Amino acid sequence: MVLPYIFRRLLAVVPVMLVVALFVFLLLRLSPGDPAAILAGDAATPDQLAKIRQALGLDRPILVQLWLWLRQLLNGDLGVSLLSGLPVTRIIAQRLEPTLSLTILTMLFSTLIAVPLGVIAAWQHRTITDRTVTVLSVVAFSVPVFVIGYVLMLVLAINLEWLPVQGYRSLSDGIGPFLRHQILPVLTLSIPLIALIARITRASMLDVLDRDYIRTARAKGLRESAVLSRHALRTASLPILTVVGNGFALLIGGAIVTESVFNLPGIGRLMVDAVLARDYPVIQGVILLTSALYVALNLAIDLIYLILDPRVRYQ
Amino acid sequence: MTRNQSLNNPAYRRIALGLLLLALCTWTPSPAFATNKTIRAVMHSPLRVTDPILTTAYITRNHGYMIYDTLLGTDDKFAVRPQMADWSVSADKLTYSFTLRDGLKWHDGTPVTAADCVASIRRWAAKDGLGQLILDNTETLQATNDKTITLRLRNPLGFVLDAFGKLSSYPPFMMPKRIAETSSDKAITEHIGSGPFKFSAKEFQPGVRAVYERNKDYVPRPEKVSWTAGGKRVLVDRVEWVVMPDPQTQIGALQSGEIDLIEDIPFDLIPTLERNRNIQVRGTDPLGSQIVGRMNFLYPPFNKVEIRRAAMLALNQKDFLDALVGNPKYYRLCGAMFACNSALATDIGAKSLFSKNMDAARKALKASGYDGTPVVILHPTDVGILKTHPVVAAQLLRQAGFKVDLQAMDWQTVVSRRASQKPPAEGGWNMFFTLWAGSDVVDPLVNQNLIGRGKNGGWFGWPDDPKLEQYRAAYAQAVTPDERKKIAAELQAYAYDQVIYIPLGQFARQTAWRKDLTGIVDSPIPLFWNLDKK
Repeated sequence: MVLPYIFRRLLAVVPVMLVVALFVFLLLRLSPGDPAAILAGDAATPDQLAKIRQALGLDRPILVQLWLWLRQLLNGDLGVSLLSGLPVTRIIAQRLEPTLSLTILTMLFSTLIAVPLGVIAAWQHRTITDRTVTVLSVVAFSVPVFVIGYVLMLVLAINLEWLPVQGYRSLSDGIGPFLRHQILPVLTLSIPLIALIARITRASMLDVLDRDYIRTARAKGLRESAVLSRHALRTASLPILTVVGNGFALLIGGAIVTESVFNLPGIGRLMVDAVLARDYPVIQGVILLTSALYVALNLAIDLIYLILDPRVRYQ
Repeated sequence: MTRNQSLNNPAYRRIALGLLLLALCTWTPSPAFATNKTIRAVMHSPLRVTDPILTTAYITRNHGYMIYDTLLGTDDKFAVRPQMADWSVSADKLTYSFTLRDGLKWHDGTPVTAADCVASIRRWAAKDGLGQLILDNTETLQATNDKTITLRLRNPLGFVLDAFGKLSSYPPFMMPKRIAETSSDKAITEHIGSGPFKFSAKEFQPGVRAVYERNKDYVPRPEKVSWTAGGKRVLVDRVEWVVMPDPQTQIGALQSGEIDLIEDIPFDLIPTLERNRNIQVRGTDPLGSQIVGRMNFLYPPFNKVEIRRAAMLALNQKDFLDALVGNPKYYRLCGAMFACNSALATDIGAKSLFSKNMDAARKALKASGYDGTPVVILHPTDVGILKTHPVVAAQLLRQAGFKVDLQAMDWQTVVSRRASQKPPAEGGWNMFFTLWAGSDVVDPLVNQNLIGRGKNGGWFGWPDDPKLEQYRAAYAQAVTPDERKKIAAELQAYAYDQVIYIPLGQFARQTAWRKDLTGIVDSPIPLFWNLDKK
């Protein structure tokens, strides 16, 4: 039952990606901006611009450009950057590691902190603990990410000099430098995420904790920790999983502000740079990649639902 | 459970051990991990295009100076000096011979030959305005032998040496022949020069960093360094241009020693750095940058000189400079179209820009027959150093009686849209503002604002004015400094009278560096030779 479902979902990816590709291509061509002007620089004359436009093939009709790009895409080639001349796949590959590292560490850290917080808040409903968690999560969710980033940077990096201010070190440089450079951005992104996940967990747990089967479990003499973790949390986990999954997808698409504040060379910054420079092939490549990741993540979340809740069935 | 019991608990011990390991592996003694001498610098913009003949972007020009060399250089007295080559000129001023000095090698180890340089000159001249003028007047350009380049002109030109030693937009960088034979409209894919640094192409990440390694085979000239002339002595092993989009992060990274230099710091952040005793803040470009207002000559209202004059009367430099820079320590009122501090600097024709003349502007506008046609001003909102000028201009023009349509957009849209020759209502424009590095306006030939060739061959705004071209041609023929100065002054007076463009003040971009960096060379180009790090 599951395998045909997965196959159907994978098949549906093809038209989705095609629509995304068409939409992005046309949107870019119809929006203002001229890559040739950007490439040529401020002091270029109109004559020089025209020659560069011709050399890049930007003077051809849009449909011809679209056809050439689709043909290239079908061969697995995302093209080359209009500005640097480097292959788009190479540029994206260079930026994937920082984004994936940041995303995975942030989601792990946030979930590990937020879920227990939410469970405790629900378990201690209407006590000082519950209210503290609720108030803190509202505050943490309301403060803009860049403010959190600057404050952490000022305190932990500039004043105390415990951590580097900025930059990214690859895992291949060693786990130490890698983690030192990840702590501040991960903390920055985690604070609002912890708030969000904790609130969702609390609400979901509150909904479950009132149910009859929980009362039965307690009446049978099960330990409270077992009631909470094995019975209540498992049932309450579907909304949490949805939030975690969407958070994952959002971060993959680029935590642009955090990447800028901490100077992480990730996908978000690549996207902003490419848009500002009207580097069409890079923009198209990044959007296609993130769309594919979104689709894959959604599929993964749906499949995890099956594991967590046997009542879920897909047709 | 007592305290001792809890410490004996294996679970607690495992957690403690884990935390200890994590602390150990995340601890590193200092952010300066390299043992060799590396300068990490944040430049004014990311390097994206690596071909210095394809673009006029300043960052690409600076990249060019790192890895390529030029036949001639220019020193701080605006004098052209030998760099890769020395020269001689025939008595009739028609034949120039350039002789390459000994020991010049490309980064791949092969010797630099005259044939390489001839191909490089041709590629450069296909793009550069001065180069085109030289080629148009060239009878022959050839490699007479491995070391000699001979240029034979049809008519004498006064600017040949200046062109080969020119500082900015499209400097004539020398490349191996096989690379220089690439069309000038197509990007080169190999980055081999003979300059003091080698480009590490494998480490290049556009928008992230560009890396340069010391060229161990480079033989610097014996003279003292001065701008692009003299000995380019490299005293460090590596230079990394790190891209850091956020100015606050740049400041933090400089303070913590993670980077050594910021080429261009926002004026409002200067006080923070000036308080730090480990950091030096100073303008290093003696020619600075000019704010420039440019009108579109093709459409009303600025196709009429009387209306352009009224607009110029309404604008004054101080308002623009106060809005952008704030602190007068970093700016100066400057009427020189060829940049203050340059050899041709004069304020002739600029008087009205130094004071407020709103009453005179209103009267002039009334007398001009202005019919209320809206002035479409392009307003880039995403670049800090460019976004204040249109707002100031709009306010002053409105006060004078103009109807203004201030259109917000990103800078790249401005760059694309200013190239449009359509009417303002159909996606064109009436006015935009930009910045020019002083080195790009130092004389009538490099200053593109003064081209008078109209729609075909002029710079954006397209004034069609044969008299401008006559002045430029006369300047091109002039040989003595006095003769050049006289023509430049006449041209400037004429350009102000016709309001060809409006210089709106000059300011010095401020560079910040850690004091353990020594040997900064004051120059219109940020230079990394002569720099050392303790």
